[in-house]
Amino acid sequence: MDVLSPLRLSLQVAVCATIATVIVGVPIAYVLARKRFKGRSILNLVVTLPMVLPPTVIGYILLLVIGRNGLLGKAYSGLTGGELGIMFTWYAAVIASFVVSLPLMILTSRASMEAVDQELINASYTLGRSEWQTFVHVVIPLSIRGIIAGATLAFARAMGEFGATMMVAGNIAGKTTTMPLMIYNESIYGSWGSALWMVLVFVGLAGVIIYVSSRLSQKGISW
Amino acid sequence: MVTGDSRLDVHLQKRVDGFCLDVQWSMGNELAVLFGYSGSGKSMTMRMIAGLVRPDSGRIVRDGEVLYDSDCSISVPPQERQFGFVGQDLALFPHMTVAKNIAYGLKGLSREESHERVAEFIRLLHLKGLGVRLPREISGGQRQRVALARALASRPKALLLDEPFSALDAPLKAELWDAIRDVREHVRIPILVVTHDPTDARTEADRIIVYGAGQVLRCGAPDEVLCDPDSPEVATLMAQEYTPPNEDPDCAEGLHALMASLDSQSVYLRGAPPLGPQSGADWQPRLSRRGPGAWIGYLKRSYSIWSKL
Amino acid sequence: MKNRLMSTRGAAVSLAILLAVLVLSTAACGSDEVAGAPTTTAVGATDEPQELLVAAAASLKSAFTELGEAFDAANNVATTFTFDASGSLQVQIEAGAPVDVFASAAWKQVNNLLEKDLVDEASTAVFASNEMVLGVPADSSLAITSFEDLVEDEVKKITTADPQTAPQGKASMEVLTALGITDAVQPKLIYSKNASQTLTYVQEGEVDVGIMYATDAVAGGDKVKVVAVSEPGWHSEIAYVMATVNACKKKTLAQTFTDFVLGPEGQEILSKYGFVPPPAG
Repeated sequence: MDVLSPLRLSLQVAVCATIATVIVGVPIAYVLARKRFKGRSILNLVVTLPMVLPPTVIGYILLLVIGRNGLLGKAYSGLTGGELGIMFTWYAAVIASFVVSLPLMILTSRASMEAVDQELINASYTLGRSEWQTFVHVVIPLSIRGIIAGATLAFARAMGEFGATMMVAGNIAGKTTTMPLMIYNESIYGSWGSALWMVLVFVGLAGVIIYVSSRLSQKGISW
Repeated sequence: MVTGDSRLDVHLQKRVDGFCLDVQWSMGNELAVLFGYSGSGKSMTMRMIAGLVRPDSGRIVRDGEVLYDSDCSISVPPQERQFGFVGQDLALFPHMTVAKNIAYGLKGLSREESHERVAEFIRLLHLKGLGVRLPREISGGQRQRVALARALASRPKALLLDEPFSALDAPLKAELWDAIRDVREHVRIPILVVTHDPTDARTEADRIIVYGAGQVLRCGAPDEVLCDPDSPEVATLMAQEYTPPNEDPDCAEGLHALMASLDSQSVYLRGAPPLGPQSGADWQPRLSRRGPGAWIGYLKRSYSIWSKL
Repeated sequence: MKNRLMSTRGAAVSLAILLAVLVLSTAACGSDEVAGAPTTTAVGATDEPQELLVAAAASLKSAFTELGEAFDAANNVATTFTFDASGSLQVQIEAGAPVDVFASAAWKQVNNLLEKDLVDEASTAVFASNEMVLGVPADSSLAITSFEDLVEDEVKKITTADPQTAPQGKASMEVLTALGITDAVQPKLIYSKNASQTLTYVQEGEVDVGIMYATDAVAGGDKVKVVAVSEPGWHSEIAYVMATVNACKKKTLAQTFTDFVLGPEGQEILSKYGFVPPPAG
């Protein structure tokens, strides 16, 4: 039975989704951690929402957005000449995983960014550095452990993502059947034996990656 | 000594939580000391000059360049004010080496030029060999000097030092004053130092600005300022006892108790004679730090006010 | 201390390289293992196999996977399937999923799509039906031979899916009502979440008997024994319905697939898995 393909898909999707959460999540975490502005609480609510909603609901909402008639779906088919949609491709799986892991990334990074001493940031300003430069040279290095921890959580969540993924990416062997979906397929009508084997392989791989990540987040990285 | 035509004019108002700051003073290209008790608005003034805190209204002009003017809605961001600023906690970047810290503010220099500039200030502030160390690996005094070097490396137009001596013991303080003097020799820019050590104020300053509860009490050369104590702050500066003008015995008693509870350690500074119990390097006005006499005075005063209600 | 930090950074870099290598290397293998891709094509065939995406109810998984392989071999097609609850598939098709053929476990979802003019009415076809059976754990010693035996005292725990949420549960309750034994049996009923869970409870011996689809009992294999079969009249019609999606660009191919499912080979495979032919007419 094909274990390699779902494994590769899961890794592919999780890695891409995690990279996306880092790129999008770190600036949002900074803004929430250190800036006061109107609509801050709304932004906070929006980014925490996916944690509260059940994945199938998130899947349904995503369907409305990336389906053929949705905002993103229309844009995408416009760009690709009207033929292709995002649905039922691995991009949809990445989007679903991205949406569910983003809150974890933001929450964790934000906590460590809030802990950065304001005096350091002030010192950077008086030394002539802009806010962006300060963000890159002071805030990020000093909160890197939180960022790594957030990325680890995001990765773990993306690897395990099931409900929303199935809704927007479908369950197509070889194309969008990630490991959790594969395990589900096996377990639908009772082949728990093969399902459990897959769980072992999956947990083993994910476990190794997460272990290395948490060691990194403990030790930090010299800058 | 006063040199050159530099001038810093400061006129600021700010209200925060019931505390009202309203100050106006000027300094030239000299070493000015901002003296006052804790909570009188010295740090806040420094931060407003540096651009880290926004005043409610006022005007800051340096060498004719308007850095802040509430009437014209001008507020130059801290990045562009070209002040060297050293805060109370130094704020050295813990994840960067000493050399990287010092080089942090340098812009538009080639690699060699950066190296040279950093080396220049390492030499000036006696930090030889420490370039590759991290801030947590060097001593407190060395950290002070790194902070100073960092603030000066980009050749700012003026230097602001907010209580750089608060965490230092006497020998380290002397070291730091040496360093500041060296800097003054080397770089002729206005230096504004906040301190609550009256001895330092008397001996080092070209100009003293005395703050009291958010107001400027006196501003001028030491001989102008150090006469006729008409406030506790000036009295402290002159190492004299202060008797308030009114005859309320409770009030005077409280203040006497206050003065008596000042740290009785004498401060020996470079040949200057010890100055007796009233002058304390660590004068601490907060109620919690005063001796029992102050508490008794405070309670008596409170009772007298209460009984009159 | 610096050395330690550096080597951790090295670990990060090596991890990144490892992940990249893993992903890229299995990408090469992965593309050959797409389910349904014909491993042997007809000799001399030079054209690429046509692709067909069939969205089928989860309960059709085993049957349709085998159907797909047979269909592909005979027609040089690469059929891919997505299996999910019929309701979810309906919603996905409404949102524009690139599905060619929809095979639902009930009329309801097909009707919903017909209303929205998303599937072709002429192509709709009932291709199979199912029976309600009583399944017991293989090692059970209970003497049950009919549905009426459910009221006996020796039957202590009965499971079926929750009639509020699962069609299987609804059908079970209809059978009980038709036989008039609902009240007698109700206290012994334990509701499971869905058909799959019903089967699991029986397989693991958590219950004495389960009211399930005939196809579930077949899927349960050696662990489940069928002891009674219901009459079709006791429950409302169970119909598995296929329809071609209007947005599909390969209508002829879709029709060929539907015909295959309705034809002798398709029906034989379906009955192998416990499905019964659709009621005539």
